[in-house]
This record gives sequence, C-alpha cells and structure tokens, in this order.
Amino acid sequence: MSDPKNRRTIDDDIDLAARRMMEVEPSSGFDRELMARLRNARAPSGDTVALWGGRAAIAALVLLAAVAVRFGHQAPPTAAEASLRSVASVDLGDFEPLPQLTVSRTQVASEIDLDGFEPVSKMTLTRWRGGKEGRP
Amino acid sequence: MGPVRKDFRTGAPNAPSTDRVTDDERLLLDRARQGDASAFGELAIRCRTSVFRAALAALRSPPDAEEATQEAFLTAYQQIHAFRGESSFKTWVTAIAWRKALDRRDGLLARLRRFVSLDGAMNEVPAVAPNPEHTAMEADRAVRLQRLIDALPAKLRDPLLLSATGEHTGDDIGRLLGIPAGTVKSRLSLARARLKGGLRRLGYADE
Repeated sequence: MSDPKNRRTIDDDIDLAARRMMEVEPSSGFDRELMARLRNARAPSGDTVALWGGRAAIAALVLLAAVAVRFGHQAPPTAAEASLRSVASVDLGDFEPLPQLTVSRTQVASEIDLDGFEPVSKMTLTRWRGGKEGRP
Repeated sequence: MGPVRKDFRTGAPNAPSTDRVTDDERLLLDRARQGDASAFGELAIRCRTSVFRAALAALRSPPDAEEATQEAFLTAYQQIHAFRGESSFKTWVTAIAWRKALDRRDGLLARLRRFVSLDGAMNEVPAVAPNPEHTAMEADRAVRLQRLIDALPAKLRDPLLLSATGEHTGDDIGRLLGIPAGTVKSRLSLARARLKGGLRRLGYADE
C-alpha cells in the first residue's frame, strides 16, 4: 500500500512532465557564440541613417538609369546620324558635265565644268525610315 | 538567482511582478544604445535561459530554439533604439524570440521535416532525468506524457509549456499568443483534459 501522503494525481504528473520538458538550458557555447555575433553585428547607432541614405542613393541612380534607357532612344538623331541618313534633292536639270579625265601613276582625277550650274534654293531633307529603297 | 517560480496551474506569480526596467538595466541599455556590445551581452546573458525556454516551447528542438534565441538577441541589439522601456528587457526580447520561433515553426523546412518524420518532434524530447526516487513505471509514464504533450495541437501546447517554464503570468502568455488571459486559462484546462484522456486510453488511471 502506498502512503497517501506520497500519492500523486494525474495533474501532478502533467505538471511534472511539462516542467521537465522545459528544464533545458542553452548549450555551453551559447554565450560565447552570442558575444561573437554581437561584436560582429552592426552597431545600433546612427549607422542606420547612413545605411538608408546609401540605399536611397543607389535607388535614385537605378531610377535615373531606367529613365535614360526608356526615353534615350526617342531623342532626336545626332548631327552625324542626320547627315548619313538624309537625302538632299537637288535640281540638276540644266547641268551638263564636261568630264576631262586625268590619269597619272598614282591618281585618277576627273574635272567637271560646273559652269551654268544653278543650285536651287529649295532643299528637302527626308529622314530615312529603313528599307533598301531610298537609302543614301 | 533562479527564475521566480509561478503557480503553474493559474499562471499567477508567487512573487510580486517586476516587469519593468530596473536602474541597473537602464544603465546597461544606455551603453548598449551607444554601441557597447558587452553591455548588451550582459543584459542578454541575464535572461537568456528564460528567452530560450520560450523559444523551446514553440519549437521543441533545443538547437532550433538556440538559433531562434540568438537571432532574437541580435535583432534586439540592432533595434535597441526602439525599446521604450514599457516592459522589462526580458519581456521585450521574449516577444521577439517568440515571433522568431513561430516563423521557424511555420517555415517550409520545418513543415517538411514534420511531414517526413512524424516522430521527429518526439525524438527531440529531452530525456527524463534519471532519478532514483522514480520507479520504472513512473519514468515510463513521464515519457508517455511528454509524447502526449508533443502531440497536442499548438494552440493548447503553447500555453501549457509556456506556463511550465514558470517565467510567465497568464497575462504575459496572453500577450505572447495574442489572446486574452481568460482564453489562456481555458486552453490550459482543455490541454489538461486532453492529456488525462490520453493517459486513460494508455491504461493509466489516477492513483
């Protein structure tokens, strides 16, 4: 017969089991690891401001680059591009070339008599829009 | 000095609650805010066991609980400026650790681990410390009880194990779990009833 003073209820056993499940200590290396991590961690000072400032600067640069890429290709063509891709229409109706070919050992030159040539005052520049036809 | 042991069944503290920042803590906090890792470390080491046990209640795996506790202290250190001293440092860090532990518990890897090995949690139960006063039957009963506790749904197991640490009042547990203190009590009762039912099914009767 068990002593009534020593009798335990199920409730007592539940308490005991649960308590024992929680009676666990952190491992022996816990403190050392924590201190090492704390020393390596970013200090909780004004660094936060600097960090977010840096992030904001990078974000602004990325945004600027995106804007440049998006709108850059719609910019007007440069002077070089315009001269290459433009066609000048000139009225050569009254022009009569008189070719006089000079050939030497090192060069071939042709002389053209431009007497009577009157350039027209009206010139049309057309932007080339692709395709072989009309390409300068 | 060990933790203040509270009445496990009611969660009421046996000693007056001192859930506020002490003068000593305040000095260490001031130094920690200026980037003194040693001062923060001293604060952390004072309450590490309590914080660790809260994480253990959620995770049931000491290595996982240690990792969650370490992460909680690091987060607390980096966000020390956000701590306004409305509660004790320990309460504040415990709340951070609890959230970290829940994140781990609800994480994909943890779910997968539970799915692959349903006995996993049980295998991680710390062994009952050998005690010559316990008979073999009592030890067996204790192990079965621990397994029954592990098998409880989280909403019943969490308040039970947090209470068992003896570190938290019903109000503290309610705040951690995001439920009223009254609900904590009712969940504790329900957990107890389920465990008794489980023990009876295993052939153990109240002595």
